[in-house]
Amino acid sequence: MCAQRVNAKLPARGGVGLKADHYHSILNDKPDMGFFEIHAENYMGAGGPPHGYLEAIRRDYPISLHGVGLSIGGADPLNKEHISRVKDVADRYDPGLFSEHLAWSTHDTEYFNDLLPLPYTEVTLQQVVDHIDEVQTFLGRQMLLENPSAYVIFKESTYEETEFLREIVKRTGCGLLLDVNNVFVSATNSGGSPEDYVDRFPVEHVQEIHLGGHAPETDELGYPLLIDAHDRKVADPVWALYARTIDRAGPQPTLIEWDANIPTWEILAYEAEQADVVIQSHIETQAQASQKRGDHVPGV
Amino acid sequence: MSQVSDSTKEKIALKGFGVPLQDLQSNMQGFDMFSDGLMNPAVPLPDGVVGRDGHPSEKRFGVYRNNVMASLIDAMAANFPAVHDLVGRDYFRALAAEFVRKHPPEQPVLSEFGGKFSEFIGAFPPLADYPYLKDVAVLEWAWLRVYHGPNATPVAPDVLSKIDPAKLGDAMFTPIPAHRLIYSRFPLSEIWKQNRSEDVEGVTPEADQVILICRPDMDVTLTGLAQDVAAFADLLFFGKTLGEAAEAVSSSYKFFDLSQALGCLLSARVFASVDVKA
Ligand SMILES: [Fe+2]
Repeated sequence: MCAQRVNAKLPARGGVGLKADHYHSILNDKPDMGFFEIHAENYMGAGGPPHGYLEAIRRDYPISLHGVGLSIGGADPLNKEHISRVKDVADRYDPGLFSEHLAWSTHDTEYFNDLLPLPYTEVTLQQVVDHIDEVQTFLGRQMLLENPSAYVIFKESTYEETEFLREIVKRTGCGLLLDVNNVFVSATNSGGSPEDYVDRFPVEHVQEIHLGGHAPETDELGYPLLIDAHDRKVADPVWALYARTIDRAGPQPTLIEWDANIPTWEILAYEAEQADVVIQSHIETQAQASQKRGDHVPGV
Repeated sequence: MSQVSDSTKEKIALKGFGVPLQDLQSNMQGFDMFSDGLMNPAVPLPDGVVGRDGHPSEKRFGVYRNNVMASLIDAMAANFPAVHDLVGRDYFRALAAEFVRKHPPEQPVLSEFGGKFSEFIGAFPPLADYPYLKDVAVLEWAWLRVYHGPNATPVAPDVLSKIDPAKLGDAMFTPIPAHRLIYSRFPLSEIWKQNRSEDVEGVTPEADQVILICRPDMDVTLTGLAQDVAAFADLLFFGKTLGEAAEAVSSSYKFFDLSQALGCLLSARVFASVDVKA
């Protein structure tokens, strides 16, 4: 059944979230696309069309598996059955990467279907570390943890988010998924500097990048309140922040997240091409710089 | 079981990381408070969760409240599109919000959220004059289970021609797992055609309907069955032989036509295998 699949490894290129609206375009036109990202929770049924399409798409493209329901940042024990369903999807599709969020979505048996924020303290650090250990052990693979977008500030936090993530990586050996739009949203919402955040981020552990659109609003005090809506194009300042990120982290698989008001395939694919353009120009600048220095450039 | 001392219990709770128990407890309370406010706007904003001025912000916490409720209502609308269209968008969103507060999801797979919706609708006093809505929700839930159900290859419609006619009475029929039979006293097939723009095969004119939902390949199909054919199908699905099922149905439906019933079920491709008892 899974005889002729392309290699699982994700290229350092643009990719897009896989949407049912685009199944047919993808299968008919076989567009040139770096990879597709799927939400694990959308492929947990036993059979049916979602698996039929994904199986066909996986033959031609690598995929990254992105979970939204493990509640890694929660105070409750993880849902064992759900981890096991994530593993089933991973076993079925051999994704190049698996990622989840520094957030929680379940408390006391209630599932809220949102990525909720947590304070960064010694207690929550240990909870997150224990949860990641459990997931990585059960799945038998490394996972990436994604920085969240936040609308509120926790007074009790004793860690900066970048330090919190660095400590998690140190204690679990997980990798990181850097969502550049989330950086922009959270920094703006808390009055911080997105550039400082990127500059402090432990980029050596980044294996994937997310980009997405946000909706600008204001809070009751007139401060900007950006909503991580994934319902539009990536904003210009986020593209600029992305270029800065690539200069620090090097070329990375880069996902365009567009989950609401889903555009035509052409518009979505164009966004992913813009990521390719940024990566390409980074590679060229690097090559020129090393030529100037007289370094040996492989293949030149 | 051996006695566990209090200090050992504490160590287990701490997992040896030197975090005072009271910090763990206040951490848990923080999650409790945040959660309580998500679905219930009457609950005060959680302490210490603030905006840029250091004070709790209705608007900022409201983003989470709104995300939770709106996304779960969207999930319900995706799972029950015909109910949505029948009651209209605004009514559906209010109805789904009531449902979500009463029966929030207990796991993260949203295509599996809403199993109690038909019951909820049936017991919702303002909808007492629209009793068919409950059955529409039952049908949509069944459709969803069949859509995501396990794949299986059905037998060819001419499978019986390969069986020795003398042994046909002993034949047993195993259905594909992705199938459901839905009974209703309302014209569900008409409602379905109008609200889901999908055809229903072989619908009988009676208002009392049985609909066979199955997925022989990638597409879910709906077939209206006469009462006697449905009773026959039910017995076959239950593991009765063709002879046993035909006899039982004939005794209660005197116009039961066996070959027509078999033809109908075989062309719906609901059987995964037909075996003759040894
Ligand atoms: Fe993201």
